[in-house]
Amino acid sequence: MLTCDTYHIPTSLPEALEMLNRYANNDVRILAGATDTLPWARQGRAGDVTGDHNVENIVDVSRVPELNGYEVKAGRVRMGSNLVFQNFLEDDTLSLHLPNMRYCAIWFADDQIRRQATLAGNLANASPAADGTPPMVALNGEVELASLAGKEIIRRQVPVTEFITGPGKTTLADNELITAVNCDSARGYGGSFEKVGQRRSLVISVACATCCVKVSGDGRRFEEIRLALGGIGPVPIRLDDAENLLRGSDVTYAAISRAAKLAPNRVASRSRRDYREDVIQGFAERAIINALADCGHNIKEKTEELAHV
Amino acid sequence: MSEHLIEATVNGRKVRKTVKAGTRLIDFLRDDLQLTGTKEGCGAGECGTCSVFVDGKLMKSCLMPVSRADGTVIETVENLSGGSILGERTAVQKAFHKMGASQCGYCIPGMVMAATAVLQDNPQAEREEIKERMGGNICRCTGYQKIIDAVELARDVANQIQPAGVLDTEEHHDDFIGASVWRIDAPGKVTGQLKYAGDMVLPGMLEMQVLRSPHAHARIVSIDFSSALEVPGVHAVITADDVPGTDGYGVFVHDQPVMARGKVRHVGEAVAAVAADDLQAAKEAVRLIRVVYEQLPAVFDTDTAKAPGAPIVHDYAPENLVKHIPIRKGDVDAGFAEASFVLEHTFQTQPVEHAYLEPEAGIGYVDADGVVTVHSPSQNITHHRHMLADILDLPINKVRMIMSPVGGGFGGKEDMLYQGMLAIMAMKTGRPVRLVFTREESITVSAKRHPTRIQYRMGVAKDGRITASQLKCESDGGAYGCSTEGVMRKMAILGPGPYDIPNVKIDTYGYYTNNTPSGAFRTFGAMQSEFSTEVMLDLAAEKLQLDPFEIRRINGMRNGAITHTKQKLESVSFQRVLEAAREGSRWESGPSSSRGEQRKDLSGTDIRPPCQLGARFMSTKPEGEFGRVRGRGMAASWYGIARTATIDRAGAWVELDDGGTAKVLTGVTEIGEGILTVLAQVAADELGIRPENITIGDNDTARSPEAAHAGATRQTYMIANAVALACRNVRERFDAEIAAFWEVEPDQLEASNGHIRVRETNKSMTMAEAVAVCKGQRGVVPVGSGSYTAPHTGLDPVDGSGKPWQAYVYGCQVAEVEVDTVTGEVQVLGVWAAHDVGRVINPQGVEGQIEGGVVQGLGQALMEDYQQTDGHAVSHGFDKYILPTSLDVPHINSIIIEDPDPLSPLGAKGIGEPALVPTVPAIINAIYDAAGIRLTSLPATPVKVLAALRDKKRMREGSLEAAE
Ligand SMILES: Cc1cc2nc3c(=O)[nH]c(=O)nc-3n(C[C@H](O)[C@H](O)[C@H](O)COP(=O)(O)OP(=O)(O)OC[C@H]3O[C@@H](n4cnc5c(N)ncnc54)[C@H](O)[C@@H]3O)c2cc1C
Ligand code: FES
Ligand code: FES
Repeated sequence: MLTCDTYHIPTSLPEALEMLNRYANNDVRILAGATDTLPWARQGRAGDVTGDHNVENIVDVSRVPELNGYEVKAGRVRMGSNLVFQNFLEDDTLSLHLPNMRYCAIWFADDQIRRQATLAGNLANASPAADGTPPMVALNGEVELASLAGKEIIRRQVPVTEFITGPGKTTLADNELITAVNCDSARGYGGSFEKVGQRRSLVISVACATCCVKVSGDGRRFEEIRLALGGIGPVPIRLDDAENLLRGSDVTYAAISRAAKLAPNRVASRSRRDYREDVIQGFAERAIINALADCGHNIKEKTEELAHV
Repeated sequence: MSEHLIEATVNGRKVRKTVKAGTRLIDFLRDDLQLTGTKEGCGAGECGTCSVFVDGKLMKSCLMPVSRADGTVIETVENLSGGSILGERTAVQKAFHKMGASQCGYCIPGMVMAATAVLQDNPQAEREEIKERMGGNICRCTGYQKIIDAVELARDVANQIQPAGVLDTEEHHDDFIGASVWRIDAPGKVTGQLKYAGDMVLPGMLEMQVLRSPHAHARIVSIDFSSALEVPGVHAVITADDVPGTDGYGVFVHDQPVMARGKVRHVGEAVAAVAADDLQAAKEAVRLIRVVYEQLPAVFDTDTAKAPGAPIVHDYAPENLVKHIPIRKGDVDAGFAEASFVLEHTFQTQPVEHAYLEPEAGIGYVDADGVVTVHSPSQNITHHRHMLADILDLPINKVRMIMSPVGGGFGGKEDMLYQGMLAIMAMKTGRPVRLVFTREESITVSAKRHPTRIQYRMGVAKDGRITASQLKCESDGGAYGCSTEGVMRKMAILGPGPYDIPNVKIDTYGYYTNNTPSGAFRTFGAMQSEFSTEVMLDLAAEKLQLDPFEIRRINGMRNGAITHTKQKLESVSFQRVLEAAREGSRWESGPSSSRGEQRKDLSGTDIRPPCQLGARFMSTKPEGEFGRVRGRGMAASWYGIARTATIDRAGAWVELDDGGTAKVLTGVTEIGEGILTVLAQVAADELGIRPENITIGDNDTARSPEAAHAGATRQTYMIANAVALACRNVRERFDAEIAAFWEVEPDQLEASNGHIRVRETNKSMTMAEAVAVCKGQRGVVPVGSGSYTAPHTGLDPVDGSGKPWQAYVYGCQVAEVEVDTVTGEVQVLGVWAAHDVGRVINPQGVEGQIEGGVVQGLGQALMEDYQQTDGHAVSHGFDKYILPTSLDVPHINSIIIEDPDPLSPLGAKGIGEPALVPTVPAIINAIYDAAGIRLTSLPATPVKVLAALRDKKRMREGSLEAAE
């Protein structure tokens, strides 16, 4: 169990940042949904019932109003860091702008955890199996970080691909808070999210893939496409080579298949490598085909030729 | 540690309390507010036993820091029925009761909350959406089917598609045997009122914590707990030195000390225990105990364990052999010579965790008469009392074991893992002492299903007859003997399956290693060996191009068959069971091979659709679902009822009581299977009253006669018969008095439904009146007793011959699967499960056992795997130890066959364990049918499935190249 000497619940951003400054040299933990942190604090207890983990200070940011809500502006969606995964299922505007996120969310944990688990926490936790990272990488996501210098709030934007540097590793400074996650709006796109683990609910990804796709007015060409993979390496991967191949090309199964063949080269995990290589190609195909279907473009006839597998 | 003032509205009442910062909402509810309907199954967000409403939204209270509850409105399960068992229950709660949706009940408060949330969020939710929305709540007993049925019923009542009245009426007649009488213990479960051991509090109670070994094998050089004793609030520390009597427990051999004695043999073994005023002090003290270990070479697999010079785990067993069971019949060499081909394969099964949702817990105390008492979810209070008396060096009547409600057992609560520590600590401190395991502790220290390697040779004649079967099964028994001996025995006796085989050679070996101990787990070894037999038969059928049912029909036992232990069987229902499964599943006959999608019996209305996440916003299947193939497989099984190869017995006392009610006293231990309801039905039928008028006094070694353990599928067979005999004994006495009163002969009397009358006359009384007459006018208290015996014999130590059981049951299951060739994921869409249960007492209960068994089998077939590296558990939480959720389970079609047992009064046999035996091979065979890959090592994870597909593709390409 996680225990602490002092549990702080700041009610404004400056107050929260000020606490981080004050305790930066002490043992401090930011807590949002707590769904990573509380289970983590139980670990290491195999054979040892006294596995409680104590930190000196917990800064619970769930009641900082500046971190709530979201906003769509100039083709970007700015999501306050307290936004939780359930919002992607229940908020129509978010579904409209982030068509892959409701598919991601439905695969994420369960309804109850989703009401607590934040997207920002998912990024900050930087697990290679995280489901929230590939969609953000696909949509040119950036984290907005804030810290306090004197009385002034300093903000910086860091692309998710630079923010996450390895398993559990980010460039978050000790006195920084994620205040928001920004990403492209993919309004008008079809979205998808593919995931495989050991079961269908409460499932951790062995691999996942996500796609957002926009088709030209005549329905013939890929106008724009975003493709990213998760679970196959220390950090999420944007399949930009596949995107480049498809952008402007005809919407055919052959094109999709050619692009998907680039995916296995990107597998970097050492464990279950064969498996991941096998899965990821089919996943990339499925992600594209499902994203097309999501915006009304069925390439059913193309998939039939695949039925031979 | 700082404190916080919390002001919240809990179940409609304002609450103001100071809490320790950093504790969780679940602690606040359970410890501060005594709202123990909210359970802690895992503490890590993985099970849903802790689900509560926070500001109207369902949340997992184990993941919510309590400080966050300030200013919120919280609703727990207790509130649904107004905080009392007597309050009006909600439609959801009633529907759970009616549909038989609760078994052990531990998941049920959370499930009821989740179901309430589903219907609140979408009152029209369809079945798939319900399953999806309840996907965060695990049930280990029911297989989810009846739970989802209940939610659908509650939905339909709310939408007035069904009249509200259906929730209050039982739909059976006054004939209670064979009727789905509602579970008598369900109300306490659906309302969260039932108290499990971890929910109980006694005045002056201390909390205990255990120091556990970090090493797999090490000598204990010294233990220094002086600083632990200095911690304020600590009362005592105990170690092996505090055991007053003969240390050692175990289901067969008593090789396990209460706490490590001299050395530790597995990671997590108890070394010392502390009792303190509160948990925090106990934990702090445990941390201060200094143990000096000298590490010893350790052994982690059976091949090493049996090799000469291997580290020795127990001095008494220098070859690390716990038990070898041989069975010999005929001459296998002659049989192989006669065969047209001999198949040889090796199979490997994995260690499996019971994963009952209630972690181990108990309270020990010494009562005013000096009786040392332990309250715990023990599956075997009788044996635990015997062992504890020796350990404590007390006369047996100074030790009392009371079974607290068991939140799931499946064999895992037969071991006396912690009851000894509780008793010793209670004696040492003079105070009640409580211990509650964490989930991690439970998984690391409790016994697992034996991982087993099976080397199989099967000789088959051209006409499909098995001419010889030879099995060598080697199991990892882990660090202690637990149930290994019995598991090896059952694995051997049942191994070759319900087939008439002239030549059989079976050897099962259980070895000691320094892994987590293996022990009793639903089917007691039969699942492992029968799994391999059923896959072998599929391979044989394929070779002969026979239908898999056909090869089983050819070889299947018939009336008068001689078993592998040379026992002659009277009535064998196997062929009937096979036929019922074939018909029930609409099986399309054809040669066993990878028929896959060419089959015409796929995709019927009696399966579920493949899980497609997003039911709440998507109604059609997305287009990119290529690469999915379907197929079907089948497997059969048999099982022996009650204790194996030893005389089995059970006793009961019955009193016809005032008001025409009755008390039934027996040491029965209900572990969720519904035995109490079965006993009420039997007693009602025998006594002529109604089930609701029966009070069952159970589970207490000081207050009820011995009925022995919950296991071996023996409870209905042994205890229901004992109760029936006791009731007949009462009736004899009672009828004599009433007959004398009426001046008629006793055999003219009949009683039913609360009335007793003289046949063909108008003489009649209510039972209430009759009891008053019996007592008040005849001066007789109508009491009686019964004891039932099953006279099994031991096995010959050389050739294994013997009569291990008098009653056998048979089963056959068909599974329909969909294999995703892109991901390797397997979804089981439908299962048809035909089982002979003797005489059915409660059909709904039997279905519940089948559904739960099938889903445990599915878990073992596809996902569950307790992994260790060098004896350290890798999967020690529900995040890594993967259990089936509501989205992973098939639609289960139960087909109940009745072939009454001729040898016992009621004719009922059993179903608890047999239900899961055929599931695993049926699924594995179905995967072959669908995708042409044969998996011989469990579980069939996506990684293994895809690897097999890759190998198959390479082989095909290779052979194409060779052909060119
Ligand atoms: C049962 C269960 C199932 C799960 N299933 C999934 C799943 O399917 N997919 C998946 O990806 N994950 C899953 N998770 C993991 C977890 O829920 C997610 O990673 C979640 O998004 C974490 O968010 P949180 O708000 O709960 O994080 P917290 O636990 O509060 O925080 C996580 C980390 O982020 C840091 N942090 C949080 N907020 C901020 C901030 N604003 N600024 C700086 N640092 C911050 C914290 O200090 C901590 O290090 C599951 C967890 C559980 C318990
Ligand atoms: S105890 Fe909270 S989810 Fe298991
Ligand atoms: S009834 Fe669900 S866990 Fe036992």
